[in-house]
Amino acid sequence: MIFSKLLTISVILILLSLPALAAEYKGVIEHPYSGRLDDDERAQAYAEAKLKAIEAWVAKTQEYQTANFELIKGKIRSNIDDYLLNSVVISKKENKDDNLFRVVMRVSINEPKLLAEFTEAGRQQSPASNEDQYITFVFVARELASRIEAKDTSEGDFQRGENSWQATTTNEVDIAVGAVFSAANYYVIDAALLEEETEGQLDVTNFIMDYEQGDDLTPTTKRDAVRGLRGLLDPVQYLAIGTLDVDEHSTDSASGLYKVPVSVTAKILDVKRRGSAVASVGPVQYIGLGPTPIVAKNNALKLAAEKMAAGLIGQLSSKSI
Amino acid sequence: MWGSMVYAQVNPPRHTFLFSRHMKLLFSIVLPWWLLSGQVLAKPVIYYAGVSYLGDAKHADTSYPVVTSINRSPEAGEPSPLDKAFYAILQQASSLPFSITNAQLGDYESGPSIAMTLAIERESVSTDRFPNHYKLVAEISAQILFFDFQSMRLIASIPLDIARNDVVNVKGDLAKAKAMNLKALYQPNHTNTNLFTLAREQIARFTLPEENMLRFQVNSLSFSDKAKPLIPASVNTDSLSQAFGQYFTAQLTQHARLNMIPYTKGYAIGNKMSGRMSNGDVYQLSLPEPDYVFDVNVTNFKTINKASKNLYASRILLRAREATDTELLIDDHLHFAVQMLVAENQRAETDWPGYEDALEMLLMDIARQLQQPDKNWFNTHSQNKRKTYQSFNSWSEQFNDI
Repeated sequence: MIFSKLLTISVILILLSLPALAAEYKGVIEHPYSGRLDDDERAQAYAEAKLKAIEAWVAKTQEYQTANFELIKGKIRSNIDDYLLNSVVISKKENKDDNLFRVVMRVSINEPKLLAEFTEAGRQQSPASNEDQYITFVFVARELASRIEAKDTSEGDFQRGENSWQATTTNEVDIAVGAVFSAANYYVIDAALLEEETEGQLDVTNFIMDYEQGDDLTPTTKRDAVRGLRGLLDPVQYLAIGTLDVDEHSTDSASGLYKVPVSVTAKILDVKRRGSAVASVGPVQYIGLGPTPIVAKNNALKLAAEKMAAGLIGQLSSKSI
Repeated sequence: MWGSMVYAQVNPPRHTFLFSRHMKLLFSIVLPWWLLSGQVLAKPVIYYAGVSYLGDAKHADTSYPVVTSINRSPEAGEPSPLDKAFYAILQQASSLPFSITNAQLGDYESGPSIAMTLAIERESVSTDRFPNHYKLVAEISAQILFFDFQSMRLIASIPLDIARNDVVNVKGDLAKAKAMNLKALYQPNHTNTNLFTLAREQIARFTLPEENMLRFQVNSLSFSDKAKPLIPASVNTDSLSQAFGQYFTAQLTQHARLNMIPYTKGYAIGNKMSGRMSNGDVYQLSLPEPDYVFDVNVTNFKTINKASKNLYASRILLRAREATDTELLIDDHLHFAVQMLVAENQRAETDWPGYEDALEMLLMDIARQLQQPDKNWFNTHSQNKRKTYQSFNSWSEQFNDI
């Protein structure tokens, strides 16, 4: 038994010692120093280079978390290694003429930990509330069913172009969005479960029908849904809605894989504030690759849903809601 | 058995007590020694993904006609012959640093899950014509790629180059001879060296890089306007850049012991590298960013004619720098010449094998000098002599054994 435990531990250690996979970024800093470059100044330069790498990650992939990042930048700076899985000094160069210490560092960022800190920091800006934060969402994936091009008719009138869509809710999107919202400490309620509780005022079928005809919900669908959610005994505070438009597949010239673009538009309505939009994302395009068109589409939907949900959460928390 | 032992511990008779003491001794002395001796710690599991072909999946059959014709699965779902043979060769090796399995891919939740493929990236045969015969050099370039199959990210690679020389009578079937020579390099049971035994040797010497190891890459390998006209019209310059870029990468891995990212100008877009498994599955790997880069510009080729032999020389401009910096750590012109016997009526086009040999020798020597600089070598082969010797010395002090 002991033997088997020890073996398990050693195997786990082996796995942990293999290269971990995390977001890798580089930080480059020219740290000014006075007189002689001492150990404290070196350590300070390394910490600054690490922080620069995190700044680069925020700027490149977490633009919606910028405000939250600024809130806790000081805290991160003073405990920088807590947010990194790994760091390596790539280059260090002392310019004695100008008293500059150039440091290049590569770091592996502990993304989940930093994102949780960002969201928490944003939330702490708002007055303390004992209420649980409930959120529900309806995101539909749409594929073009028909397109009428804009044209001048034979009668001389101008006919506007029109798209009609085939819309569905999909597991890939629901799971990806649910995971991001849950990780940000929201209680995620399946919209279908709320249909009965709101006595049909929130009706997922109405959302799908609206999104088949246009890019937004009709005022009636929106008003009824908000009213239904507000009227609950234990109200749901947020309703997230949006579309993920799936374009036609093509072949990726580099890999030969199928390539599917998905364009995403989403927003969060604050139920308490009469359905006003408190966060919005898009339209932003993401591309999924896969050995078949279906796998490529599912990959694109999952990627788009994760990015979109992370963007919405970033905005929601930075608004201290 | 374990159940009875647990019971014995609860209510121990004397002999069980003694046995238990022996077990404690075993655990306290033998087991730590066994664990630390590397028998267990050095054996992570690598999932075997067989042979694959780098580049656009659609063009695999035309880019690699020989290997794709050999490595066809006899029936759907059956492993291809080379996939099977290479796996058997790996299993025969007793000293591999990890255990290689062809079982189902690992559990995604259990940690980094690493797969390995032998990716073919070039098969070519160069021909050197003499009055009565052709001299053939069949060459295969490949990469052993280690990648995380959850994130499809490249973790490490081992570049491989293998060549085989042959002489064919001018009246013989040249096309057939070319194919035969390439096929010989793919024969796993062939008595001579072949790609698979070479791969096994390299894997046996290899350890997966730690996350904090520095990464190097050949950023570019180009030919100057002066050098280009001396390359035969039948040779595509882009393919040549790719071949020499990969060759230099292989030399830097082997002789300079650097942790190299593959040179992928030919088939990587952005930092993605694509390929096709022998069963037709297409993969795309993302490559890590390099920390240090090399740029090579082949500036010129020269011939010096002598009685019955010629000297063929290649000259390059070599630059190396930290990837985010503009300051150059190495910056000099380097050259190398090889002697070759000359046939009476040798044509101008056949100067190319001489230039090619000289360039290969130069790139190999550079990799060796990066590891252990020799002052005399720089006096003969570099323009800035002492200054470049010093920059290679600084390099080796900074990067050796990192």
